[in-house]
Amino acid sequence: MITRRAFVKGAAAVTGGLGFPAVLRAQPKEILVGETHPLTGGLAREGNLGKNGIELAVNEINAGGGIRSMGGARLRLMVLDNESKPPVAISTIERLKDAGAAAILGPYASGLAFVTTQEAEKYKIPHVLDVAIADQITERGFRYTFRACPNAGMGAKHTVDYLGAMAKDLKLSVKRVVLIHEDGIFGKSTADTLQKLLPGIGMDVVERIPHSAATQSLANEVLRIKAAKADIVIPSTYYGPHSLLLRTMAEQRVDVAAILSVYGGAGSQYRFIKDVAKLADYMMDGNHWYNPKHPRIKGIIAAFEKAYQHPFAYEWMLAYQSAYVLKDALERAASTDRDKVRDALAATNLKDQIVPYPIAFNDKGQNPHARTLLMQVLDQKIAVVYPNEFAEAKPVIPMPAWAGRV
Amino acid sequence: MSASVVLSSLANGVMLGGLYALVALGLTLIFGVMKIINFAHGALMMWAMYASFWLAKLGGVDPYLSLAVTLPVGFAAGYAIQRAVITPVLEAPEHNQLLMTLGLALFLENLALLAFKADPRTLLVSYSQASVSLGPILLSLPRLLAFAGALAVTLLLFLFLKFTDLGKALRAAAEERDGAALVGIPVRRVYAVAFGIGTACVTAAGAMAVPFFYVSPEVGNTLVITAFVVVVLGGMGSFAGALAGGLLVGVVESLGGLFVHGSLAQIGIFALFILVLLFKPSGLLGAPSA
Repeated sequence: MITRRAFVKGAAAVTGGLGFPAVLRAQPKEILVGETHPLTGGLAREGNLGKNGIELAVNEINAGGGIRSMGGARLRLMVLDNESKPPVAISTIERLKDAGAAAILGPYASGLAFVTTQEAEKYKIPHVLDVAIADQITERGFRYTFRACPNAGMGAKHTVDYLGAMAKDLKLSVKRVVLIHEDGIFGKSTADTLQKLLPGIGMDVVERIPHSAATQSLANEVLRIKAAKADIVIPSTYYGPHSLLLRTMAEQRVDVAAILSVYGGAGSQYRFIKDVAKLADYMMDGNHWYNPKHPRIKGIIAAFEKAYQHPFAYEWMLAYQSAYVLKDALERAASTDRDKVRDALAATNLKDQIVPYPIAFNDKGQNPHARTLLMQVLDQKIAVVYPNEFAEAKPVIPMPAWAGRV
Repeated sequence: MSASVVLSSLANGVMLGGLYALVALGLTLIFGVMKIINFAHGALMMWAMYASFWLAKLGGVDPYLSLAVTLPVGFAAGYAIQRAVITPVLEAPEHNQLLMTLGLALFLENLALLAFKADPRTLLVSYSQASVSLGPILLSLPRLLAFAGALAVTLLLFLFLKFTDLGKALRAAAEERDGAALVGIPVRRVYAVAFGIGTACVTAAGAMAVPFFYVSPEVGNTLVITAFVVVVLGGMGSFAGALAGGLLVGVVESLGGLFVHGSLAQIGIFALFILVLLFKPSGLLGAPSA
């Protein structure tokens, strides 16, 4: 017969025996990091770039010893596909909450971020955005939303400032600007902002041409650009129409001093250069970019190319950066408690990152130091041309006439 | 606004209208013969565009030459699709037929998304940026070629329907199905031929659009919605109507785009569409009984 004392003794021995080897193996803890990205659907390309960027960063972080303040805890990613659909994005946040994610990364697009940030706020989960630039996302008083990159309004302002400074530096006599934009919210709001800012650098918006995002032809629009005798054409539209615009301008031999976009649909993208080859030359774009002077950037780009056979794209770089922002916060929080991670994020003060700006957050969760750079396609490569402290090449304005090169 | 701008715009409208007409022609043929509205028309065009694109990119075949391959394949694909998925629902209520072609469209689009990703791709051929000057205006060579090609295909199709036995059988089946069957026309096979020809039309349109447009999985949607308007405008099932409607829509859209902005330019077309449906449902050139 087993007495009570004997039973307790035995049980203790059994549980002790079970527990002890675990301590001996000294497995580092794991920290669950949630991620929601559009891996399928219309935004699949961008979503997968973001996923790869985060994966690269997390592999680096884990190989480098994990989170030291938590005994070298490894980051474990839980990646959910939101199918480019806001309703699915909502459910991914719920699943990540239930799985116990310490924080959430993603979701690339503004349309998705509007709902993911709202859900994350509801459940009090810190949410570090990778791209998602719509200004309003951080204007809703959310405490758990953090965005390190420049938003839409900041990007427009920086690009206009660069244009003004460049015109002064190069003593350009450019004055007449034509804005051509898709007539949805993205194109229209960018054009509205530009129309307000451009007079500040002494430029006149002589014509504003909206077009449908699904247009089959921009021939008329290009005729109007020609009739307006534009010096500078600023497109704010999606990839397809952006590409069509350039091709139609070349076709009709409409020469201007510069074609310069703000977060252009086809701007600062190697796939566009691959797609239209020399037609992309001299195109300028104000956009997210890396700091070309950063000592680590070449190695990171090479590592990404090796792992994913994909050239540089800012989509993955910002996702990569967002994982490092979270890593830094986890290190300082020394805890996976969501509120502690949130407070650590709010106190972020990162310098010397691969992005050309320091990272800290204002009380809305936006990084006020963030900025875009001005790039130009030169010799089939994307080079930073402004501001001077980051410039890799001198801007070519006015661009050579189409007649000599197509 | 200077006269040369208006003239250029008019020329652009006519050239684009030719392409619309060709897309609409396939649609109206299928409707005229089978009384089926083919929602998969745009998706089939998109696949044809990808076929021409890849043949050019990987095989170095000019899109116009690639028609030697893509036209027969397009015809065969249309024939097979009709046999496999349209025949079984021919006797079903109309909404089943609509849903079937819609489902087919979604299937084809998502398949393309899987195979080619969402990236728009551009094909640059040697004449992509070439233009022909005609007085004060510059005509883009690839658009001009597409216009000429569309007219040529339309003419060929017209001759085929007018003078060949198969063409006559097609028209007979379109006009009176049971009567055609009674005089010994194999109506089922004729239906499949009609679907095949309709698909071949859109294959030709796709190949001709590739040199001046871009290819992406949803590229067919934008073109085919315009084609629907053209078909209704010209009269469901009417060939001359498709041609006239195509040119009219092209010109209205282009000239409209000079005076009103962006998506508004299409309002004129859709307003026309609604007015025609309300007051002359048979279309501008359609038979009153259609």
